[in-house]
Amino acid sequence: MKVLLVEDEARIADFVCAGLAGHGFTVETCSEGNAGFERAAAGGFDVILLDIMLPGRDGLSILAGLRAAGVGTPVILLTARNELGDRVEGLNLGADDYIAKPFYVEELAARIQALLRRLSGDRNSRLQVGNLVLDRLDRQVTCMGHTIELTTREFNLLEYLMRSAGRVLTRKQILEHVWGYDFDPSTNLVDVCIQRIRRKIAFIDPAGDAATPIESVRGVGYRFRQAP
Amino acid sequence: MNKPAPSFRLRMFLVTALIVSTVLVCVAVVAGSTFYAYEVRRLDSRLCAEAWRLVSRPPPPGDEARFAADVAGKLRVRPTDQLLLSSEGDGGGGVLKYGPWPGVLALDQLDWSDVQASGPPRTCSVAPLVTAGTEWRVARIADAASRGLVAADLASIRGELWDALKRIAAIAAPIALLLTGLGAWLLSWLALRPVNRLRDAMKSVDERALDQRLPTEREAREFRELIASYNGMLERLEAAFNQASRFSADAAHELKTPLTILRGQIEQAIPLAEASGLQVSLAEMLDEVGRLASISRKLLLLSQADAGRLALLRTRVDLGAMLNERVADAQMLGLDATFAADIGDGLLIEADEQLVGQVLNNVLGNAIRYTPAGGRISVKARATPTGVEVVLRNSVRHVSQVDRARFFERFYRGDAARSREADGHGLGLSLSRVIAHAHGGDLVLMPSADTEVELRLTLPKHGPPTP
Repeated sequence: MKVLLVEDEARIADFVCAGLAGHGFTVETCSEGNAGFERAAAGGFDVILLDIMLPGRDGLSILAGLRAAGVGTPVILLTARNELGDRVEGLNLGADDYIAKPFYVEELAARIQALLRRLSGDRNSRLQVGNLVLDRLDRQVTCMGHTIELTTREFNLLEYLMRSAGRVLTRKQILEHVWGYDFDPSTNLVDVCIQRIRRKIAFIDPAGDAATPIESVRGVGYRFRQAP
Repeated sequence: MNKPAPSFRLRMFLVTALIVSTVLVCVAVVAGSTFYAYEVRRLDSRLCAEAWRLVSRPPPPGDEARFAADVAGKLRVRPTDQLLLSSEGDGGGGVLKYGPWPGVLALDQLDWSDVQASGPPRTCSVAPLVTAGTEWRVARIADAASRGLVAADLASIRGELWDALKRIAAIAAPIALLLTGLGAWLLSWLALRPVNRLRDAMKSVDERALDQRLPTEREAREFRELIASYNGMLERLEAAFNQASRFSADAAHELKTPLTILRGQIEQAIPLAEASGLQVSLAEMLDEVGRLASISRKLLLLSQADAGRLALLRTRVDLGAMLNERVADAQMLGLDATFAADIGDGLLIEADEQLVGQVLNNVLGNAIRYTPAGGRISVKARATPTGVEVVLRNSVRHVSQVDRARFFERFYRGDAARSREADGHGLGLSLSRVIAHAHGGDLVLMPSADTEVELRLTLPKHGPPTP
């Protein structure tokens, strides 16, 4: 999967490259607007990540230019200053999604994957890690052939963990991804939800009880055990 | 508190009435005295004429009463007590004395003045005479042979004058009052018209329209100055407001790039620091960066909302489903509080899903966090003719009236929330209300007991028509 990142802040570009590389993406970066447009118009990318404020030519103008030139490559906007306004304008101009700075790289990776799945017509709607199979289309999780009944929140949480299998996610990171902005009823909401998922998996797969796929990382958060 | 000043119209009326009545009284005094002097002069000549008659053709003895009645009729006085006659001389009539003459008469000491009398060249002179409480006017005709005196009580013409004044006043006063009222009303209307216009224009200016200016072209010079100074004030306000708004937007924005870098680098470092004590510190740092990011995002949104630029992405949103999801979260937490939810059907509105979700997250999150063990939380949502109403009630330890008044203030936290446990930023409620306003709805704190908080969120079914 090839990603074009048009971003003028070198340190942001650096960690985005590093982070996305860990998810198997090849990232090419470009720090100037006009060059970014040229590169994007030349094609060959699966996703384009566009910063809005760029020297030379701003992200919204690049997006408009690309769509006018008939380039349909999916675009995710990285908004900062006018998050809400850029979101409205960007989506009107033909952006596929947007993510507000400051963002988690894991979140960005999840958005890119979700976007690509959506555009590929959900051909890859099945996600399997270990003996857990998650189907986004049916919103169903099965373990060794048995369906596990999950609530929407539990399903979303499990999907987030499985997509980032092998990586530690903090509670705050999980909270923001699953529950959105500004929900903070108590510190243990994520823990309670994870306990419930673990219990449901253990009910189907008693062996999993000892070796639950969702590991607690002390003082950090949770990690979905990667398949050996 | 000061008592409000009486109405401007009323004051205008009173002042006008005072002026008009002063003028009326002056006119009445001047006219009355002029008229009185004229009447006295007329009386003088009539007295002289009667004196002449008395001297030239005195009544025969025994006929004085008839004569006196005749004279009284011509002078328009009562013959019994308002007329004095006296004559003596060679006319053959001898001495005549009629009426209540005083005992001693020092005629030569009176202030005589001559009157040109008709008839043969005998001089007639008149003088004021005061006897026991009565003012008389005396006319005297005297020559070598005879002498005649006629006096009339001045009370008669005074009475006539007074009656005339009363008649005039009876007609004039209501007319004057009416004219005064009309005049005062007209004056105050004229004076207030530009002020009213100004007031209406000022009312239409709110925080979202500080760029409005009032037109000065068609106003009178005096009001032009007033409007100009009001416009000047608006201009300064706008500049200060824009500066403050831009400042917090700029500050929040400037924070975003370093925050993005921090967050990304810490996030990347966590897996590398596996199995070392550093990982825990990094995770804590990541959470703190998250807190900073959340504050700067809220500040940015608030400053955009203050400037009236909260861009909404309206879609069809099922508020009922959103509420149910959060209610399920609360139930999942297994709270030590009674939780009651009554979510109606058909709560479909056109709204910005992300922002409305944030509002619900904030108010429900607060309710769950601040409800003490054994308390109650209730969520009621129903469709109204214009949109949706959500009423959220929860028990709290104690929220004073002072705290309530500052509930929506930025960076304000009640006593209960001041602990580090409660991870609010004191911006959530303020931002929630601003989001509700941007949708054309509202978020209000309802009055309730000190140990309960009731919030009412209203959102319209449709957004306002886009201009």
